[in-house]
Amino acid sequence: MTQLKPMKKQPTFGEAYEQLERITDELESDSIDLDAAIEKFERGLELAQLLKARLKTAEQRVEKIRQKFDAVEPAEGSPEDKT
Amino acid sequence: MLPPITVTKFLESIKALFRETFTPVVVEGEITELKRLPRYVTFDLKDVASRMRCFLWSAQRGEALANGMAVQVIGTPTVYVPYGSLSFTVTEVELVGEGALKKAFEALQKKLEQQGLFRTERKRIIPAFPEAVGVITSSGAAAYKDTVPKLQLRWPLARIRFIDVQVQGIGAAPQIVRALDTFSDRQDVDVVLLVRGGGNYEDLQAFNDERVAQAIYRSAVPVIVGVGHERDVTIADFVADVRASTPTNAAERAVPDRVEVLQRIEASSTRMTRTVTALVAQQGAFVQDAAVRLRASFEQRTQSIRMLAAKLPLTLRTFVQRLARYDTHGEHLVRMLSVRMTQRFDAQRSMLSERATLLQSLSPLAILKRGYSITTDVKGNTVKRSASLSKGDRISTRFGEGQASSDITEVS
Repeated sequence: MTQLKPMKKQPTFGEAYEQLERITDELESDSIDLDAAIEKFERGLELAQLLKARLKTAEQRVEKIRQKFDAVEPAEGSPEDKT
Repeated sequence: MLPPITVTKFLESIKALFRETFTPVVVEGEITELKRLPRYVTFDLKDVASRMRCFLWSAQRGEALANGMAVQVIGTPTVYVPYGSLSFTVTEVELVGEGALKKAFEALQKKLEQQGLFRTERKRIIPAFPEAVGVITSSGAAAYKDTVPKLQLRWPLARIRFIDVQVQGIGAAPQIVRALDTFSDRQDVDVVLLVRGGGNYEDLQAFNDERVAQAIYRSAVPVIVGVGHERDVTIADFVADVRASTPTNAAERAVPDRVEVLQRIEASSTRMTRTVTALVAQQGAFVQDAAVRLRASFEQRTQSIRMLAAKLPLTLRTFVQRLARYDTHGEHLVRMLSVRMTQRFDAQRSMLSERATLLQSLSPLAILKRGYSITTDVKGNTVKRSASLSKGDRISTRFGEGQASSDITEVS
């Protein structure tokens, strides 16, 4: 079997957020033309949606973990790191 | 009695016995006769009645020590064979008493400052959105509960890696150093939090330890230190990339607040929408403007078109009149056609009638009408000769009007 194409790396939250800020700033620059602006606008809203979705997912995950353990209590005396 | 042995052998067997018998013990006393040598430090530890010789195999650790200081040492007893004397091998030394601690603190602060460990330009920036956060503290401490849930609540996107260490007492500093080095080697976190809740001055000594300071300094990952309360200042605070006032504050400095970030994302969306809407409106205005100019430039042509249009009714009238003329002519044609068709129908009808009369005159029925009759046998065949009949046969006779049956009585 041939090797699968590597998946396109998802941008980190920081990278996506930085991109969103840059697009927002670029849109406000005077020299942008309408077509480019609309393209950037679309990308910007896409990024905003992606970021919000990621936050939401993480929040839900933490909430689930919280419910599972009732409260965040560390195990007694274990020197191992907990992730 | 056993045979005699040499002094050296005897002392060495006692030394071995000591090594097997004693686990590390903590001994408290006052330092006297302190001597610094290139690779180690020696001093006597004494109380009011006794003293013992101590060896500290770390010149660096000895730097904070001075004669007259009250200390706690951790180590094991041994025999110094060349002199046959008892000595104590020190692995850890901690100062006791606030006066001594403060003095040591000031000395270390001065030294590390000169070495450049506190330089602001070496302080690293904490990533805006850490994906993983390392936490070093004691799992039993209040600092853990102040920090970990706070991190998760503020920024649920970050994974939290925790290393449990002792945060006070003799032996705490080496554990903290190991934890810092672990995160630094693995580099699986974006920021490390070294935290501990409030306590008395002596409780915070691990954070005034030079080894901890050096570990923070060499860490490949930025370190946030949050020890004690706002008023507590430790050497670790000076070396840290970020000095947080409390463990809770350390969590706040480490990760962004998700609510705030969401608001910032919303604000970005609003700004973008506003900008693009304005841009579209601006483009619309350009188009409008262009249309106005276009209209003006075509004004003259429009004028000539209007003049043409004014002439149109006249032209139209002529056209209608011509149409009317055609109409009259057409009506005449239709009338002519109708007359011709009628004539043709009449001619055909009279021809048909003539033919019917002729046909009628040729019909056998017409002949019978003139007084002739037709005779048929029982089978309906026309009887043309009397020889085809026999006596007793029944025949049928058809007249011009009606018919009759008769029986043959004689054939001739």
